[in-house]
Amino acid sequence: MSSIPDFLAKQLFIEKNVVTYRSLSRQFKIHVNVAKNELATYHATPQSSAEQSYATYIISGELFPRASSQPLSTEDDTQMDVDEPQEGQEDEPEVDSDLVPQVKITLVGEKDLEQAKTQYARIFSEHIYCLSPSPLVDSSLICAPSANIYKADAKLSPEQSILLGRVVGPDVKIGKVQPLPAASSKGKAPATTTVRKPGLAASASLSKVKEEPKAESIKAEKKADEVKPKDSKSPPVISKPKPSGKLDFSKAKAKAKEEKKTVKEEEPSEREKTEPIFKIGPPSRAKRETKGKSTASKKPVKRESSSSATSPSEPPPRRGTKRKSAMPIDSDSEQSAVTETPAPSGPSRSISPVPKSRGKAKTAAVKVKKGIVLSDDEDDEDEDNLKESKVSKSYGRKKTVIKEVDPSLSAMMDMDDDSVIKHPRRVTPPPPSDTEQTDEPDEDVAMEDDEDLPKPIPKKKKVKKAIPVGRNGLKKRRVVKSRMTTDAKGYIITEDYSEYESVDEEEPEEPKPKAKKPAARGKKSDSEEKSSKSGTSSKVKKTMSGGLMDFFGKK
Amino acid sequence: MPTATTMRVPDAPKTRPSTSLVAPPNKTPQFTIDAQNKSYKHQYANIYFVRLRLLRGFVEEQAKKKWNEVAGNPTFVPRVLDVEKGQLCFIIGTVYMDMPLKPNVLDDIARDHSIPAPPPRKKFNSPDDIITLEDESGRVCLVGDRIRSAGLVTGVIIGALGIETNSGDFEVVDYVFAGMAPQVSSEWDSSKRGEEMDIDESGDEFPSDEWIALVSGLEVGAPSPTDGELELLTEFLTGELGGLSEQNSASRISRLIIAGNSLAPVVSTSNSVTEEVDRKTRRYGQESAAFSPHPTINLGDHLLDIARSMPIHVLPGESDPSGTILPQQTLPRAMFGGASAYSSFRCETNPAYIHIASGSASNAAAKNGASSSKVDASERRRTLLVNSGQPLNDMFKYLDSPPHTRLSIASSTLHWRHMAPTAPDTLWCHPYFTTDPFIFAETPDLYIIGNQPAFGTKMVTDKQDEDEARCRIILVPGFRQTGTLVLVNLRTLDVKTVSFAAQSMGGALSSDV
Repeated sequence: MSSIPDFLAKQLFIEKNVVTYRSLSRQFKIHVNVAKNELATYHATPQSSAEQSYATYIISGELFPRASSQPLSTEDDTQMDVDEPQEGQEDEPEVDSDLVPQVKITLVGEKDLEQAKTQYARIFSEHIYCLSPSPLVDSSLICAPSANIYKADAKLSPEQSILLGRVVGPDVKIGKVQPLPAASSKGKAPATTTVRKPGLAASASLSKVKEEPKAESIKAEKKADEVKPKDSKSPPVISKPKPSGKLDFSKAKAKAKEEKKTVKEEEPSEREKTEPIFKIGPPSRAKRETKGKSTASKKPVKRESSSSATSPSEPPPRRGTKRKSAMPIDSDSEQSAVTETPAPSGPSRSISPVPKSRGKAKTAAVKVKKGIVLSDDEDDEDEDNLKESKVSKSYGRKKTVIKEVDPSLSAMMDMDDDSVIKHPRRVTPPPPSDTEQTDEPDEDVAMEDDEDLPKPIPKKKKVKKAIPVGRNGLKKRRVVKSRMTTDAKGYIITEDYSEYESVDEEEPEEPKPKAKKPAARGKKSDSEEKSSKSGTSSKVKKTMSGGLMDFFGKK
Repeated sequence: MPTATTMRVPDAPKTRPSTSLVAPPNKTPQFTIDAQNKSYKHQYANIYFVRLRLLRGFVEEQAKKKWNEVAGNPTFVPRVLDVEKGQLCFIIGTVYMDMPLKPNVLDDIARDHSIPAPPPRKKFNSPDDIITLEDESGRVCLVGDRIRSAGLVTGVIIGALGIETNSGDFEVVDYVFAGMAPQVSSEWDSSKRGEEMDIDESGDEFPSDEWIALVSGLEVGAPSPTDGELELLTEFLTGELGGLSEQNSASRISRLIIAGNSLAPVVSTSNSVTEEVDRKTRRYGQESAAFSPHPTINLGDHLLDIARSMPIHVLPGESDPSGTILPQQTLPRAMFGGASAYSSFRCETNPAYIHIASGSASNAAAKNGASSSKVDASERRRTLLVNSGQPLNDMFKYLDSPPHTRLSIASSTLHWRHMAPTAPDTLWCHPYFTTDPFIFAETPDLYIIGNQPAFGTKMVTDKQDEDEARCRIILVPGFRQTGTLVLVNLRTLDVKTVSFAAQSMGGALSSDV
C-alpha cells in the first residue's frame, strides 16, 4: 500500500499519465472503492507545487426533485377510442411521457465541482474519478488507461474481478450460444448450463458408437464439443472411404445392437445406466451437428439417435439394406435359439457361432471402454471373419469389398434365417452371400485361404430343415443353377448354386421322393460345388450332374 | 479543496439478480430469415394481402361491437367497391396514404441526374394528402375531418363507418382498429404494483427486483466521439462507478439490451460535402484510408468489459453494418471480439422478441425459485419487443408532429396490432410471402424502441372484455446524443434513467457551465 503514492507520483509526473480509480485498482489488485479512497488521500495530501495533480470527480444524483413524489404511469388509460384526440401530447415527445426518476452522473473537473453540484437537487454520491497531471479538457482522456485495464482484466479470473468490485451476474457464461430450450416451462436450464455439461452429454452419447477416450481433458472436450462429434464421426468415413452412408450406418447400428446384446447378457444394470444417457445425448449432439455438419452427416445421427432411443426390446426400424427386417429382437432370440437349442444335425457345429458372437460381444464391450480407433479395427476384424464365412468367394477376393458388406454383419446373421425361409418364394437368385450356405466348411477353407469358419454349417442344417414347404403353400424343390459373375479382377466366374423353387401343382406326387432326396442331394451338391470351386474345369460336369440328379429325382 | 467522503468497501461482493431467457411461445413470430425463406422473388402485394386477411377479422369484431347500436343500423359491406351511395355502412380495408411528398421511385427515375438529389424530407405530410382505403376489390377515398385527425399511416387495417358521398368519396363518421393483441404473460406480480408507485423513488425497498438496462445508439466511431461517456456507462454497468448507491442500483441490473446503432454510420472522415460528389470515383480508391477497425475494436472492448458482468443482447440498427431491409439479421458475433466468447452475449435480429423469466435457470427449472420469490417462476415472465427505431422513425414522417408524438404513434401501433405498417411502402422490408411477422400476435410487456431523439415512456392499456392488455412503451434515446441509459424494473415495469455527461470538457455531451 505504501507504494501507491509512489506509483501515483510516477504515473502522474514522470509518465504524465491519467490514473483512474480503475487502473489503480487493477494495478494493485485492490477494490475499486479502496482505489477511490486512495486517490482522494493522495490528492488531499499536500504536494509540492511542481507536483500538483488535478482531480476529476464523479457526481451522481438527481437533477430534479420531481421523481421522488411523482407517481409513475399516470396515463394508464389510453383507450383506443382514438376519437379522443391525443390532446395531452401536443408538444414534444417527452411531454406525454411518464415522468421517471432520472439519475445523472456527471464527470467534472475539480474547479467546476462546486458549480456542478449546484445543479443537483440531491446528490447520491461523489467521488474522485481520476488524477491527472493537468486538468482534463476532454472526457475521452479518461479512456487512456483503458487499454491497460482491459489487459489486466483479461488476466483476472471472474472471482478475482469480483473482489475488485466488479458485479458479475450469475447468468454470465462463456461458450457458444445455446439455442433456447424448446420446453419453456423448464426455463433456460439446458441452454444456460455451462458448456461442460453439453460436452459431457455429447461425449456420452458418442460412447454408444465409440466412447471418447477418457484420457481427454474436460477442457478439451469443452472446447471441442462441436468438433468432437465430427471427429469421432469421421473416422469410419476416412478409414473406409468406399462405404456408402447406408452401409456405414448399418454398421453403426449393428454395433449398437451388439452392444445392447452384450450388455443384456452381461450386465443389465449397466445397460440401464447407459440407456438414459443415450436418450439425452443424441438430441444435444444433433443440435450441435446441425450447426456444424452437412446434411449428409446429419442423417446417420438422426437415425442413430432414433435407434438408441428405442428400448432394447424394440427393434431398430431398419437395417442398412433394404432386406426385410421383421425381427431385431427376434434375431437376437433366434440367434440365441440357434446357439442354445442344438440343431438336429450337429450340435457341435451349432455351438461354434456362440463363441463367435460372444467374442464379438466382448469386443464390443471392450470397445465401449476403449478408444475409438482401436475399436474400429477390432470391429473390422470381427466383421471380416464373420462375413467372410458367409460371403461368396467372388466377394471374398477383395477385402475392401468385404469390409463394405461387413458392417451389416449382425444384420446378416439375423437375416440368414429369414432369408432361408424367404428364398422359396423368390424365384430370383439369392444374393451371393447366401449361396455358400450349402458349402461345407472344409471346402470353404480350401477355397478361401483366410476362411476357417464352421459358422456356415449350422445355417446349412437349418436350411435343410426348412426346405420342404414354402410359405406360399407350394412345395419346394431344390434346383441347382449356375451363374456367371465378374469378379473384382475382371475374371468371369461361373458358379453353381442351389436354391429352392416352387413346384407347380401339377406334380403333387413328386414331393415325397424329393423330400428324401434333397438331403442326399444337398450333400452331393455340396461336394459338387466343392469340386467346382477347386477347378473351373470340373464345373461343367457339376452342372451336368446337378441336372442329372434333378432328372433322377423327378423320376 | 473539495473533500470526498471516503468510501466503504461492501462487506460481501455484490451479485446480480438472475434472469433467464425462455423460448418463445410458438405463435411468436420469428424474424430470422433462414436460407429457404431468403427469396426476393415475391411481390410485396402478398404482405398487404396477408395482413388484411389476418387482421380483418379482429377489426370486424371491434367494429360490430362498437357500432351495433349506432342509429341507422349500419351494415358491413365486405368489399369497398360495393358501397352504395347514401347508405350508412362500414367497410374494412388497408389504409393507403397518397402523399405527394412521399418518395416515389418514378420521381427518382424521372429526375435529372445532373442535379444532386434533394435531401430526404423530414416529413411527407402535406395538406394535399389523400387517405384511401383499399381491399382486394379496389380503393375508395376517405374524407372527413375525423379521419384526417386519426393519425393514420399507410398499411394500417381499419374499419370505417360512414356514407358514400355524391362525389364517390367515403365520408367517415367513425373508425376502429384491431385493438391491442391479447397478452400472454400478464402479471409479474400485480398485487404490489399499487404501493410500488408511491415508494418507487429510490427502489431500495425491493432489492430483489430484477432490472434490465436499455441503451441504443452508442455510435462508436462517430466524428464527435463520446468515449468518455461510454467508459462511464461501462463502469456503471460493471458496478464499479460511483458510490454505494450507484453500485447498488447497478448490481440489480441483470442484463443489457443494446437497441441498435452500436456503430456510427460510415462516413468518411474528411469533409462529407465534397465527399458526396466524388464518392463514386473514390469508392474503390483511397477510401480504405478512411476505414479503420478502431470503432469495432473499441466497441468490442467495451462490450467485453460489460459481458464479463452481465448478459448482453445486441440488435443491429440502421447504422450498423447489417442489411437495410427490415428484419435485420443478427450481426456476426465475431465482429465483437472477446465478447463473442460469452454464451450470454447474444446477437438478435432487429425487431426481436426477447422472453425473460426471473430467477436463474436452475431456479426456473426447479420451479421453486427458492432464492428469489414466492411467485412461481413460470408466471414471472416478461415479453420484450425490441426494435431499433426504424419503423417509428418512418411512421413519424407521415404525421404532423404537433398533434402526434413518437409515443402516441408507438402506442397506435399497438392498437393497430402492427408494429411496422409502413413496411413495404416507405420502410424497406423483406418480401414475405405467406406471413406478416410484424403483426402483433400478442402484446408485449415492454415495447422498446431504440434510437429516438429523446427519452419517453408510457403505459398503454386496453381493456377488451375481461382481459386487459398492458404494455409499457419505452423510447430509448440515442446514447451519443443524450448519454442516457434506461433501466426497467421487470417486476413493476417501472423505469428510470441514468445519464452520463462530462461537464466543462470537450466531449460531445459536455454542457457549458
